Amino acid sequence: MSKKIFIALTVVLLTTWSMMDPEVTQMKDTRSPVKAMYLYNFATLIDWPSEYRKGNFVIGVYGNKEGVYDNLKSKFEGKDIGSQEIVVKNYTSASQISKAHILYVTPRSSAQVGSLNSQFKGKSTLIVSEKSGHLSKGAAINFVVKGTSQKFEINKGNAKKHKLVIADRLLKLASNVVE
Amino acid sequence: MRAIKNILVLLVVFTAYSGYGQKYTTKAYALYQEKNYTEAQIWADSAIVSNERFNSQLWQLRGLVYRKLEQTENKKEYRDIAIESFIQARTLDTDGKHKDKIDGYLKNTIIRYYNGAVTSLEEKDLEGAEASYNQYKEKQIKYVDSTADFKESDIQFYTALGSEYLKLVSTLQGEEKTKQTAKGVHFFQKVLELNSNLFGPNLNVGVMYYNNGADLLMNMDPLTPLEEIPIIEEKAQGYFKKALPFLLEAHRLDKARTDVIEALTGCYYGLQDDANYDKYQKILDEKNLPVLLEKHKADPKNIEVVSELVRIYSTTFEDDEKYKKYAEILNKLEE
Repeated sequence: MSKKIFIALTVVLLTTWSMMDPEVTQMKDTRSPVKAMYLYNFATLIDWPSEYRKGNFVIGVYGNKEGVYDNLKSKFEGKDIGSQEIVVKNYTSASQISKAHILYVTPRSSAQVGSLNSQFKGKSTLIVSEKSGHLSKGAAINFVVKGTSQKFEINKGNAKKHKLVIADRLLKLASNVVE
Repeated sequence: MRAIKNILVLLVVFTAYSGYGQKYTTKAYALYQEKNYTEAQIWADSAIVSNERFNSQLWQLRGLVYRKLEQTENKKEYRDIAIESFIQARTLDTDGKHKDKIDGYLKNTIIRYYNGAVTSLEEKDLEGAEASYNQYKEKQIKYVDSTADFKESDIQFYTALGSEYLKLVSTLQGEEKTKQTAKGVHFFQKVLELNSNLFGPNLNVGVMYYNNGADLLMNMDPLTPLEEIPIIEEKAQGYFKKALPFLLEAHRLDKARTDVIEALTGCYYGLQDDANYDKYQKILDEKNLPVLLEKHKADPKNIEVVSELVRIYSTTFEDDEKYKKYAEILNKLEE
C-alpha cells in the first residue's frame, strides 16, 4: 500500500471514530424491584391463619398498574409460598377485591387505605401502603424512605387485628415498629 | 603503461569485490522484483551474515522483503524484523543519502500497528487493539519522532475503545459486566484526563456507572434474602453517585441532550433524591410531552406512550381530567 493510501486510510478511520455517537440510555424504574422484593419477603415472613393457607396466594396491587405490579408479575407470579402459588392481581376499585393476602396500595391511591381497611375488617389481608402516616390509617406495613434507602415501618397492632403474625426477622429490619 | 596497468588492477579488484559484495543483495533484489519474497528472504538473510552487511541498501531491501512477507504469510512477527532492518539501514546510511526513503519505510511500517489496532477494534478484539495501539505509539516515539504528540490520536482511539467496551457491557451480566465496565470507564477517563470538556466520554462514563447500578436492582435474584436487599440497594446507589459528576458535566456541556437528562433523572430516582429527580423529570417531560402527544395521535394503541402520558399527568403536570382520560385508555388497552 502506498504512503498516500495509508494516510488516506488513517484519516478516514479517525474521522469515523470522531463521529461515533455516545451510547444512549433509558431511565429504569429502579425503585419498584426493591419494593416488589420486600413484598415477596413479607409473604414469606408473615403467618396467615389456616383458612388463608389454601388456594392461591394473592398479592394485589390497588391502583394503576405500575412498576411494582410489573415486577411482582414478572418475577414472583407462579412461585410458591408454602404450598400456595402466588397470583398477582391489579385492582382499580375496592369492589373488584374478593380475597387478597397482601394488598399493596399505590401512593396515588393511598387515600383509599382507610376505607380498604374497613372493607377488610376481620379478614386477613395485609395492607401495605406507601404514604407517610398511613400506619395510623390501618396499614400494617408502610413503605418509607430513610435517608437514601427504601425502608418499611410496621404496625404490629394493625397486623394483629387481621390475625397476622409477623416474624422477628422482619420486625428487626423495619425502620420503625408501632406496637 | 604502468598507469594503465594500475588502473586495470584496480578495476579487477573493484569488480571482484563488488561482485562478491553484492552477490546476495543483487539476487535478493531480483527475487523481490519478481515478487518471490520467500526466496528473496533467504538471500537477504544470507547477505546480512556476509560482508554485504555493511550496505544500507541491503537492510532496506531486507526490511521491504519482510514487510511483504508479513502480509503474504500473515506473520506479524515479520513486522518487527522489517523495522529492525530499516533501523540498521538508517544506522549504516552515515551520509544520510537514503534518510528520507528509510524514514518513509519506517513510518509506513509502524503505522501498520495503528491500522492493526483499528482492525482489532472492528473485530472486537479490544485487548489486541489496545496492545497494537500502544506498540504504534512506542515505536513511533522510539524510531520516528521522540517528541511525537499523541493527544488527539489518544482521544480518538480511547474514545473508540471505550465505546466498544460500552457496547460489550450492554451484553453482559454480573461480575463480568462489572469487570468490563471498569475497563471502559478507564479508557474514557484517559480521554477526560486529556480533555475534560468532551461531552461523549462524560456521558459514557456516567451511563456505564448508571447502568451498572440499575442492573443490580433490576436483575436482583427473586430469592434474595431480606437482609441483602438494603446491601444491594446501597451498592447500586454507589454506582449512581459515581455516575452523577460525569452526567452533570455532560449536561453542562450540552443542555439539549435528553439522554443526559434521562440518565440524571434515573440517578436521582435511584438515590431517592426526589427534589432533584422532580427537577430533571420536569425538564424531560417538558421536552417529551409534545412528542408523546404526537405519537399517541399517530398510534393510539401504543401502550408505552399512553403509560407515559398517564405518568406525566399524574405527577409532573398534574391534571386530573387528562390523567383519568389516559388512565381509562390504558386500562382498555391492557384488557
